[in-house]
Amino acid sequence: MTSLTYNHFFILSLIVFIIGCFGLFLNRRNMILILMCIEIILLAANINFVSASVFLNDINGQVFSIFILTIAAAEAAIGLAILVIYFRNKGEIDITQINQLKD
Amino acid sequence: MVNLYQFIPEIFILSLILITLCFGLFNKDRAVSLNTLGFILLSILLLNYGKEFYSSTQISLNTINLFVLSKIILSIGSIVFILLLKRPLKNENLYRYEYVLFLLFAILGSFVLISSNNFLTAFIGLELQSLSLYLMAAFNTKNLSSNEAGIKYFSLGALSSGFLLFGISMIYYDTGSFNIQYLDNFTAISEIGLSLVLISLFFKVSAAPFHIWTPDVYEGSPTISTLFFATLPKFASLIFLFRVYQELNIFEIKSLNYIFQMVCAISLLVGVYGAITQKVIKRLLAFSSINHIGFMLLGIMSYQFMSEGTLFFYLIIYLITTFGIFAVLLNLRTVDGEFTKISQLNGLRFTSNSKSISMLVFFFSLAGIPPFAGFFAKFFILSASINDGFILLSIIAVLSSVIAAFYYLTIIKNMFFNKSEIELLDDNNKTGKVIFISSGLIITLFFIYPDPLINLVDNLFK
Repeated sequence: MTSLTYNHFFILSLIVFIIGCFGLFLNRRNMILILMCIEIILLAANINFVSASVFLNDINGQVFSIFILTIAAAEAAIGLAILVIYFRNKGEIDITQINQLKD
Repeated sequence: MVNLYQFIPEIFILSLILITLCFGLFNKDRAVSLNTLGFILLSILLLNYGKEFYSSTQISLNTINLFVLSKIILSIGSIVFILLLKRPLKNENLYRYEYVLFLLFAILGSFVLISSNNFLTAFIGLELQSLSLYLMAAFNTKNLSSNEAGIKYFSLGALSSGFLLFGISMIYYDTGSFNIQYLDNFTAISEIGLSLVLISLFFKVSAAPFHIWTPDVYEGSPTISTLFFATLPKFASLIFLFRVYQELNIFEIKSLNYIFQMVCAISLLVGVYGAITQKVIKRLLAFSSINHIGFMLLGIMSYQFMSEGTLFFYLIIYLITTFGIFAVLLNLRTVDGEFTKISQLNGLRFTSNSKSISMLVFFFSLAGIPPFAGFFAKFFILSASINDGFILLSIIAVLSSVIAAFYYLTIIKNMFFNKSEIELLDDNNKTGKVIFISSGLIITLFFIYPDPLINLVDNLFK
């Protein structure tokens, strides 16, 4: 039985981070998915902060993660607000239709 | 020892926000003009007592000067911005005092970002700034392209803050600290983390290849918000980038230094090649700002020779020119609404003399043609960078500004020698007129009487 080291947590957070990034780029349909992927990316950073804070025996990382949680909530609120006004004008939130602005 | 004294500028803005929130319920007009007064007070406060605020801390004198000067520039910029915003917002039926609140939050974020010594406060400042910017981009709720600009800005901006956070978390594990000043002995992990942080900052200042959002957001947002994106928040992010570069000694870390140089070169080139084919004036200004960011990055890298003065001088001239150009653009309207196309500027000379001549001065200055201040800004940056040994980058910079001169001069030619296609209406906004004429005068007369600006920059960095 091997014990958990920081590397396990780091690899976990890296995997979650990459899932979030890929989700953002590969997602071809829905704006809501983008919001979810952004939350996943912030979560990955949170996992890394908390685990590093435990292994370094230093409380600052956990304080940072609390700040990230509050800011992520604010960010989600603002993202949804922008999405709602877009939906009111356009009637859909399909990503492929967001092409008003281009060369 | 933490002392509340050093937070006086931030506390001042915070109380201004609270007063505006209460006041806006009863009288939105007064709430806006109150903020002009507030920022005038703040800049007087900073001019007279700025250095004393930080005297109880252990920050070096040079950094204190940097804080004070950039905060003064930010508050003067906000005064100009608040004076400008009333008429364009009224024209589009958007005049609400909430807009000024977003501005105040963004400025508060910029203040926090500039004076942060710690990645935690830097992150909070950056988020406070960008969350308000997303809302300013989408402020025209009835307009689809404004909404779209908001969505694009939000999704890419949130991704970049994710990068920033992950980068900070990697640095934290490696060094066990968030403090910028005491970080050293980097291993591979924190170098990767630092490069993620740099990518996020490059995104915020819209340096290529992280510039994809810039043209779309500039085009879609209301013009007055575009003016804001192009000036003050970008200035604050650039100052923070400069501090990161300086405090972490990035020029000693080979891999990161390569990233810096690559980004600088790509920004210089993408800025000019993107701009050549543009037909919409705001997209052109977006690409031209990317080119100027390239110059500023060159200034950041070569600070060893000429100190911060070079970079600051360039930034001040860039801010004045951008404010001037947008003040002219905000003053012009076509019959069916806001004007957007470059071709609509044709024959501006026949509509308004003062506007066309100011535009001539601004575009000549951006292109770097000698008697105007833009030339001296570029000259200082280039001489500093050559002295620091960035020969190849300097050559790229000079070539890029030659190509840039092509499209600036085309606009000038069209303004003065072509017949107008569309009748342009003069908005006759007095404050806008005062702003673009005075910034035009500053740009022109700098050549005759350079002392005040040079002394301002020089004295603060002794």
